Amino acid sequence: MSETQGITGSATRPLHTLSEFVGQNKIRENLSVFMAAARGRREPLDHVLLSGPPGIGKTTLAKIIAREMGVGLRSVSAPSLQSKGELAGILTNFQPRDCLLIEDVHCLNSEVQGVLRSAMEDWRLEIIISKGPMARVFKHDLPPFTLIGETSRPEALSDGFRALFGIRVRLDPTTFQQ
Amino acid sequence: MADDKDILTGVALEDDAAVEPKLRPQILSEYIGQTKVRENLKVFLAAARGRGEPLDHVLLTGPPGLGKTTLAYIVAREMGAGIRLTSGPMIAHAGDLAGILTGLQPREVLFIDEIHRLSPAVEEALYPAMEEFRLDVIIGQGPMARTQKVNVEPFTLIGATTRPGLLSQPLHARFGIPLRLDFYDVPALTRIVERSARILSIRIEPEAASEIAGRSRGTPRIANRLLRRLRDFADVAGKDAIDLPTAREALARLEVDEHGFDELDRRILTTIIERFGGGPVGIGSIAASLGEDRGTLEDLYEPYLIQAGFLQRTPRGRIASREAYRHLGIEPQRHQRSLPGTTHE
Repeated sequence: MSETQGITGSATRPLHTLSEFVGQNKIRENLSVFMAAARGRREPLDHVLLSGPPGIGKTTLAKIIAREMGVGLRSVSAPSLQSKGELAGILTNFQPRDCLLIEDVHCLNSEVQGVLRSAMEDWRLEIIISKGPMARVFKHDLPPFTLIGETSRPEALSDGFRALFGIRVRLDPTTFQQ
Repeated sequence: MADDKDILTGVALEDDAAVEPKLRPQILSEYIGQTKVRENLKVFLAAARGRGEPLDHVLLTGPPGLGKTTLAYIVAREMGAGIRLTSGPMIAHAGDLAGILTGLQPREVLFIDEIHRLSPAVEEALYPAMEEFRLDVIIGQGPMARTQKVNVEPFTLIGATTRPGLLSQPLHARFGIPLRLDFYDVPALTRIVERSARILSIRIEPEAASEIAGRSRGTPRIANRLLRRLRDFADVAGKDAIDLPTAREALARLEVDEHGFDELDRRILTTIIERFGGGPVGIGSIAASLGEDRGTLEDLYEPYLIQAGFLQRTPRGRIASREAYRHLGIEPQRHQRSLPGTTHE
């Protein structure tokens, strides 16, 4: 297991492939279509917003997505992603089509969110360096990537940010079919 | 570590780095729909250009996804000026605003999204900048404090908000050009879908395009998202074009119904009907009962439900209309036979 996988799944985590992701049939089918299409076009998967109550399998699903796309996954939690520099460091080290999983994405501070938005839209890093009259914008092209945002409170995301997620998956206890 | 070194070189050479071409129209004449807004803006732009002045400040209001940011880009382009984008919550202090404003080039466009979320102190600092292109900067503290006037280049402020009601009156009044975007009709959305399909090199049959348009809640952003997902379904099914059956099947699998309602829309209506006897019921009660945020319902869901005639907003609360009952296949109770608009007040 590569180190980017992070957590070692317990025996109860249906970790390996999408077909092993029990329940959530509809989600599974739709996602496999989106992933197959993206792979076929050799494009990164569109950005994914995973929402649902804690413990429902969002992180597991994110890992499955990265695995099925055959790309690396880097995961961070939004509260720990405090500075723009940290985000820039992660994104500039990506291979094309890699996935970035941000847990509790609604907790991102607005500065980091601003940088992330231009990265998601244009594969471009735009960071304002310095302040006041000396401020200037630093621009850097990025490899295309997939952002997987994970949240239990999708409504806490601003409209503009939410709009950048082309695939929205809502994991819901009632959609589980045993 | 060795891997990390190689990564930066991989940036530009991959064929798949071919970035999806931009769906946003670049100039006003490419913009589809919103005829009134477009026509007016065209006149104002031409006049401002003729006088060699920056365009008056513009306030764009309307539900999310209708093209407010796109219009801001277009204004900048048509004025031959640059654009800076920021949002209300991103400008935390008056000092941040000063930094942004003093860095502007002459006639540049400053776009502030979610402008209703500016803090009062920042708003206050914005007034003189909007009116006289001047900033009052306070230097020093306590008895030594004095204000220093700093001039900024003439610029155009474009403010965007989904909730104009939350904008303070003084700020509202300082916008010379208020523009309200409305939901798009199906023909306009069909043209948008067809245009996007061309840009993304997707073949789509006209009936399929209008099927997407009809299920996009009058919102281009949703139409474009659906189009991309439908392309996925068509690709995987091995079709070289999106035809009507493919579109219908894919939309069914995405659980987007013929009115473009998603699951939450349907839950809002069923909750009103089943738990609150069809209303009237306050939006707070609906939100609590659904476990959703009140703002989400008011901003994202309600506008379209009201506009499509499924929900009515009355002083006593929300009422599900006859359309809602019909759509959900629920028979109104006897005392509800006279549903809105023929209601007993």
